[in-house]
Amino acid sequence: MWTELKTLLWLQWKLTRAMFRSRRVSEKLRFLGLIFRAISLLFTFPMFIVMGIGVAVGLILLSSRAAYEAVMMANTFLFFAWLLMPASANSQMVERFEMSRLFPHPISFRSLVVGSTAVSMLTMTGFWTIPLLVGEVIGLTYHQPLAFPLIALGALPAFAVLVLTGRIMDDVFDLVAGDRRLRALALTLFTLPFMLCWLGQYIFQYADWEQNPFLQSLDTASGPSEALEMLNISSLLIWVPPAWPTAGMSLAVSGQWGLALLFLALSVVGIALLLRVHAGITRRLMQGAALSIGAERVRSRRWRVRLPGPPALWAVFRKDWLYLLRSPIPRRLIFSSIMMIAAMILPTMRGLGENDLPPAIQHLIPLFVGAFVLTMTDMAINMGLTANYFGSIDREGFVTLALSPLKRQYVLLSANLVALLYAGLQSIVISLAIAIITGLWVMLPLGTCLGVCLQIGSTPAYNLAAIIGPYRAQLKFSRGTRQRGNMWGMLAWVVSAPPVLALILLPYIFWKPGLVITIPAAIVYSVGLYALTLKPLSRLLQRREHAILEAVTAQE
Amino acid sequence: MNENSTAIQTHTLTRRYGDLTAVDRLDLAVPRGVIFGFLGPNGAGKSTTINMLTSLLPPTAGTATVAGFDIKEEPLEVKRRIGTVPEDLSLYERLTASEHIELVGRLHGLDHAEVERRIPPLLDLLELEDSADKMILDYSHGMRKKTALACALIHAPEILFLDEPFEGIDPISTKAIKEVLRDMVDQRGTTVFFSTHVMELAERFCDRVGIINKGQLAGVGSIAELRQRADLPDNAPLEDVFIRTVGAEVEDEGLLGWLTGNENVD
Repeated sequence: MWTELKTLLWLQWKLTRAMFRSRRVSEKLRFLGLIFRAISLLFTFPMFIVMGIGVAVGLILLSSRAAYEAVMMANTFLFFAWLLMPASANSQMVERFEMSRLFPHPISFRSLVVGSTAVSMLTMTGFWTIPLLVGEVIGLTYHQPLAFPLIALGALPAFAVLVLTGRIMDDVFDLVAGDRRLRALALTLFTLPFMLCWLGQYIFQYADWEQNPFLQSLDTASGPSEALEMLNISSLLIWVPPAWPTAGMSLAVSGQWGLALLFLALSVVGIALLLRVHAGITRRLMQGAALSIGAERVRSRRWRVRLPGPPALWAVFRKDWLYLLRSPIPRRLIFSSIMMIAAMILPTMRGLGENDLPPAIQHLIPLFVGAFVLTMTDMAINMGLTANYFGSIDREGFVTLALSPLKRQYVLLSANLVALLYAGLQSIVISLAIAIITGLWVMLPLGTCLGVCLQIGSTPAYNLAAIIGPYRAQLKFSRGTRQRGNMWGMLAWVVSAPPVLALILLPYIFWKPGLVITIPAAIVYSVGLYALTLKPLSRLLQRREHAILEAVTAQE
Repeated sequence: MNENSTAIQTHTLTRRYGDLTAVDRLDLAVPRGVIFGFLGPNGAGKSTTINMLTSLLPPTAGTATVAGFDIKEEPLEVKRRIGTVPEDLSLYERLTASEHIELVGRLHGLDHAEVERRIPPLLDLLELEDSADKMILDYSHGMRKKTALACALIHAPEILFLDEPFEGIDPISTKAIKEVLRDMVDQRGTTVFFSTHVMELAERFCDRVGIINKGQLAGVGSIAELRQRADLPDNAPLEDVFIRTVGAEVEDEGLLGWLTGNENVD
């Protein structure tokens, strides 16, 4: 077993070291990349140590009871970080240690279970967990030096629980890795606790501190120690997996030796249970029990209505439309847009009416917020759909288009029409939401108009980005062309979008009747810009077809 | 080691996925020291069979022994004696070919010096030496296949399971690999069990052939025996034997008349 373990650790070492390998062809760029990564690591590891020192100092400054509460919170945070293990930056920088790849080889079940757990420790998440735990041990020991053996002993099961949590998350990810939709769902579920915590902060922001006696008492706390003690969050966190070993290492500080020992004993039971779960999933994986929700059944209906214009355009449009409905990318975009809107609207709306600004300016805030939200969501849609058309929407399928005698402008027109429908709908929803929240009903037509004009006017910029920087959407690394495309896209957007914003926002602020002229002018500008650039962009697409094909069909 | 003359033996081997029976009561015996071609249409159960025989997938019913070891009871012993190129190549993409081959060598218990000795000729055979230090991420499909093949060969296994081994590999490498495999079979008594769709390859390369259709074994034997059973002349190509055995002859070309030019115009 030891030889097998050594080989697994050797494999993890090789995978970690491969992080420094670059795909860049140029020696100079490769060397620069290596230097950059070396410098970032030089900063990263000392930063972990500084974090550990920070934790130690912070705990020393708190009361012993507050230190217990703080350690509970810190370890719960660590627990969430380990939950995100499969989706973490570490997983993207370092190739995943996918157990299933080892199954064809003669490696024992026990070695796999133990080895994969050991490998989880040797990850970036593991590297920054250790200094934090050491900081906790130092900080807690300061309050009760006699309890050092128990505190240090408690840190080991705490680390084990965290590592096993991460390992099990990786196992779950392995179970669903073969199914694209389940994988996407798992990633969403893994990140959900963080999202909920993030949205939860607004509950605190909106809570009426003056009416709630508990929150009022918190407001009167003399310092962080008293606030933490009053918050008593450990009574809730005790149900989170790392809480038992954390209680085991911290309760001795306040003299509760018996309880500390009891929690340590419970931690050992918890670790055994987690290990059993990991072993169970490993065994199931070894028996080929990868989860799958099976082939997705889709309804395919012919469009009975004959649309005006070239049939070839509508054929591509139908393909793009169906792809939009069936691809997980739009769903992710919708989700991220909603989160972005919530993040931007909620704090701003809270501030309305609570400042000393003149009423005329206060009246304009919803408009600015709306314009900002619409601009940002427009960017989010286009960065995902339009600028990413070749690669994420049209991947290997682009060969079909490239082989066809189709006019290239139809390819762009179709992709842009689909994005416009999506963006138009989203603009209506956002404008309606802002109108309902603020009571400023003019936002509905104005916001919708702004959203649609922004979409049409900025589309050429994103088309340019898509053609110059075709990119295969993936969870791994981006290519150089992607950055180049984004840069050109941003530059072109800076030129194309401000006139639309100016034509709609400025007249509303300074002379509302002017909107009768400027709104049609914004529409003419957007549509005109689009129409004028469509042909040159189509020619560019034709010229770069081989490069695009190479980029989006290359093996990853 | 089991000295039995049968390399692979299955007895009513079955694998079901819900209502679908992918492999249905398969009884198969593959002698040692032969190249055995496992043929069948898409979805016939070839890969499922290979996955079960390599202990990657437990059978729903039935038993099988590989190199004398039960696939369910002693999967590790089976894996020690076999080399596999699975359908899904499952390679660590950020390792180089050399590193990957070394990994597999080490997992099979070869010491460092031995692995170092074996890798260069393998890379040379598979024409991977120029790319040996590139990440697998940058390899073409054919190069990935060659890497997987090198991994399957590094420990000189008793039995090789190759799922579509030559798909995407250039003719020069294919010829070189076939020669090595033939030498392994003739001189070391290795058994090669491989699935393919390419009938010409199976015809020229295999000593024995098994044909699977809809999960059931439709025929097994030498190509001459299969021809005889299919009631075809001695010079009939394997393609005809295959089509006759699986009963997949095209009966009505009339529906494609618009394409073939055989449209009946009344």
